[in-house]
Amino acid sequence: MKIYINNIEYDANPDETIIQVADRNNIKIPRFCYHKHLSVVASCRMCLVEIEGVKFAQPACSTPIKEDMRISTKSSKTKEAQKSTMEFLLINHPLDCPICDQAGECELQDVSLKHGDDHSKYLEFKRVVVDKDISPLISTEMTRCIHCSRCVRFGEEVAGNKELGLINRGEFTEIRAFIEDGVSSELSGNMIDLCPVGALNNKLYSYKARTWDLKQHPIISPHDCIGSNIFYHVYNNEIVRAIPKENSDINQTWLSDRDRFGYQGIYSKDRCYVSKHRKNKTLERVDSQDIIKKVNNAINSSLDKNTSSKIGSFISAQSTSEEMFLFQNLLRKLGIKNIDHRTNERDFDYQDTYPLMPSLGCNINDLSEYDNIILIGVNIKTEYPILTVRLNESVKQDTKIYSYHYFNMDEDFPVEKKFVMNNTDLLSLFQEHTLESCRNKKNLLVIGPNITYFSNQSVFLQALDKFAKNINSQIGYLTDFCNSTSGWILGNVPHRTIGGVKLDNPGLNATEMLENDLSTLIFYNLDPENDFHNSSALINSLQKSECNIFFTSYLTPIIEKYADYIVPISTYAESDGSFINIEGRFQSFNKVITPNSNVIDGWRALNELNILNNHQAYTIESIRSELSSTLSKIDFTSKILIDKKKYELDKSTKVHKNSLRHIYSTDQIVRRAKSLNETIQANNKSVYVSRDIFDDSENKKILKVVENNRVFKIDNFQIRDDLPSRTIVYSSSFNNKFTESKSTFVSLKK
Amino acid sequence: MIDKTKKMIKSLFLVEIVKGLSITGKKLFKKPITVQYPEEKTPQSSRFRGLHALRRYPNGEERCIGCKLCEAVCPALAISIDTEMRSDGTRRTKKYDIDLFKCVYCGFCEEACPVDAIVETKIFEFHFEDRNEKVINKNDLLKIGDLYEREELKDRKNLG
Repeated sequence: MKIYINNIEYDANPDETIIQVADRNNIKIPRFCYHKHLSVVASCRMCLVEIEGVKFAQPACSTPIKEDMRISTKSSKTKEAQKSTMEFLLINHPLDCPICDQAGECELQDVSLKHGDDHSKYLEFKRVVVDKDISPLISTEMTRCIHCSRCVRFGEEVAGNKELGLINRGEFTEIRAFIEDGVSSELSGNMIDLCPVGALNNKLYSYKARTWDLKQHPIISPHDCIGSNIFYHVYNNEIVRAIPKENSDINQTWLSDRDRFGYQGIYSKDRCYVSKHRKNKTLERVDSQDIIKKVNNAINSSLDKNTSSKIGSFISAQSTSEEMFLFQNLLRKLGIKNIDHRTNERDFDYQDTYPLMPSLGCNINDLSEYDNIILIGVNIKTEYPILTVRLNESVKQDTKIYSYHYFNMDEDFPVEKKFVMNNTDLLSLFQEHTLESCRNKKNLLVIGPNITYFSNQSVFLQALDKFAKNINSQIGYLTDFCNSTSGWILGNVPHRTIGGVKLDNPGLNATEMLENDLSTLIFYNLDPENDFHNSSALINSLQKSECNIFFTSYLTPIIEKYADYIVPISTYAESDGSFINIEGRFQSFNKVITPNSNVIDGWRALNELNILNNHQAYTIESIRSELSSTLSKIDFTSKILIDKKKYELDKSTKVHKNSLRHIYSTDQIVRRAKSLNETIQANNKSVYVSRDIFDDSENKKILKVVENNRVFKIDNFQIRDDLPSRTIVYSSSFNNKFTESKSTFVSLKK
Repeated sequence: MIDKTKKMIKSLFLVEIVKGLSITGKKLFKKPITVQYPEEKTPQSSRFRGLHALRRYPNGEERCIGCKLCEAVCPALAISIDTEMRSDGTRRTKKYDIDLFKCVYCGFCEEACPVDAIVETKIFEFHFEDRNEKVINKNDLLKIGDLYEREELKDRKNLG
């Protein structure tokens, strides 16, 4: 089909509207309410254009094209229509641009400069709307609102959670939250981007800088394995805000709140800025140039004294791929085999038959091609908020979503059927279960990170493998950290080296390292309070070992108490790095801000150790080229093989104790993001107990849980009827007072 | 030929010098116009642009709202501002520095200011004894504003 815009011929598809053709061909039409990912309402009337043969100017966003349509975006009729619309839009808009954070990037400002009149005929009083405190992340100035309703449509169509609405009519029209609590969506930050004026603004960025002061740096999200693309805006070497970087394959134009506001964790008060070394039981400050040499001496003297099997090393799966590569490279060259990144897991029997790396099994863009998506032990709304957008899209294209979990949680997309059962029941269900509606269709089974916490993970994975075969489904994984894929593929596991090559003599895994009384422990980028499956086992082995070396960005109480060497390393934004997302996509980024001068770039610290041991020195480019050559050899589509050993079902009648991954405590950076932890979701920190295990009649308000021969008294808990039987769920995994390990079987004491 | 003769006579009788000296001779007996600075001063235009000042509203509230337009418009990059949200929720500056050595006294900052906060007073006599004093901060600027508010007001009225 052909249409003419300003007398130039353009190709167009029959189902397009004028504005779509214009946008594709870079013809500028002013607009406020239209957004390419939202439905069309044609309420702002800013995109009026003249169409030949039509008496009045028509909105370009809602007018479908016709063969040989002649449109003019520059004629006097169009200009007159746009000018009049602009005059009406500006009637009630306040003239407070000098204090408005949107100024400089404001669509209203730009459009009124180009299409508006230079004076106003309006002499009456302007409308004033009372502000609402809708969220700790979004500041409002509703007098500035021009009622484009983008935020309302976003909540309804994209986030799947309609929290803002338009109430009243005409002069009294108002955008407001339906409930007092305001906006609680995990994607709420996108409304800030969508708002064409300064009505919805970033609360953290309030009055900090002007838009023209900011420098924009691309980076990849370190908070989940999706790998959203972000732009950080930097003012005076400080990150002041984050906006999405458009990537149609991953996050489109959206960003979850965790990715948008998580950077606050970099500025936490407990950041570690000095190198320290323990002398005579006190930590003493060391020059940052000497600490690497001291650490090197410590590792080497330990190697001389003991065998290399007495040294254990842990690395966080939130580290960059470069750090992961250098970490295992250094340790393996020194002969140390005990390397693991799976600190949150307990059961490792599965590891020999595990795929090369956990992978979603398809591209994020292809999710809508599946007939059924079966979620196992994962709550997309709180764990991978950005996938909510994709699953909402998929559901609109007739994908059915099923969910199996031990905890009943809301999702922001329609779920066909929810199965809420405890660990044992799920396990026996998967042995025989066949979802009849999934037969002979294209299915995807998505295994979430909560499964990896289980103390019977291997049995579970095998049962899931059987289930997947029963219903003829693909298996995909979602991982705990943003770079768990690198952990596997770059050899940060005890039984495989870089590229997933199998080792004949595997080292000790994370659980074994903590149980085997090692003499030296190396921790890289880990938060010992929260990042380990069993915190008391960790403390026990820290006490027993002679030398504890911590490479860390944060100074936590455990580190201060047990560390012999503390190397302050950079966070993700302070050094060059790369993450491999769950699709296997390798994404690199450069340093965004320069850290305190005592902080050492993570990969440089490891590289320095390499050099001190007379090994090859690397630059960031040489690491990346090595990584890309390794990755190019790997077949990412390799099938999952978990069907080797026979496992017995644990039919004990014990109580299941699980820790949910809490949305704003998934990693050490987001845990320290202040504003995120003030949101409604973050306040949801509690212990839930199923009704059948708590005897109400005795009127006691204390629950005694026996875990590993230790008794924990829980006094603040909630009884929930929607929990499966014999279950205790910790909604937040980081309260060590009440728990020892993340997921296990416990018994109750009367 | 005639031109050549005229030129010769002119140079022979030093006509140009006599012409020039006649002005000197006339001025010799007139009242001198030299201004005895600093005892005497020349009149200043009400548009004169001298030392900067930050003004306040009559109730004592500072005018500046930290919009940073003066910083953006300054051709010499002499102004540097940091803003914050004051405890009452308004937008205010926490740093407002002007480097007087960089400043070219063009007056763009005055023009850009939406609230008439930054102004250039008529003060032109100032000096520093330390190089660091060339940067004046918000406190200094507000003090200058307080001292010269009345004159400023008068000038602004004169300008209409």
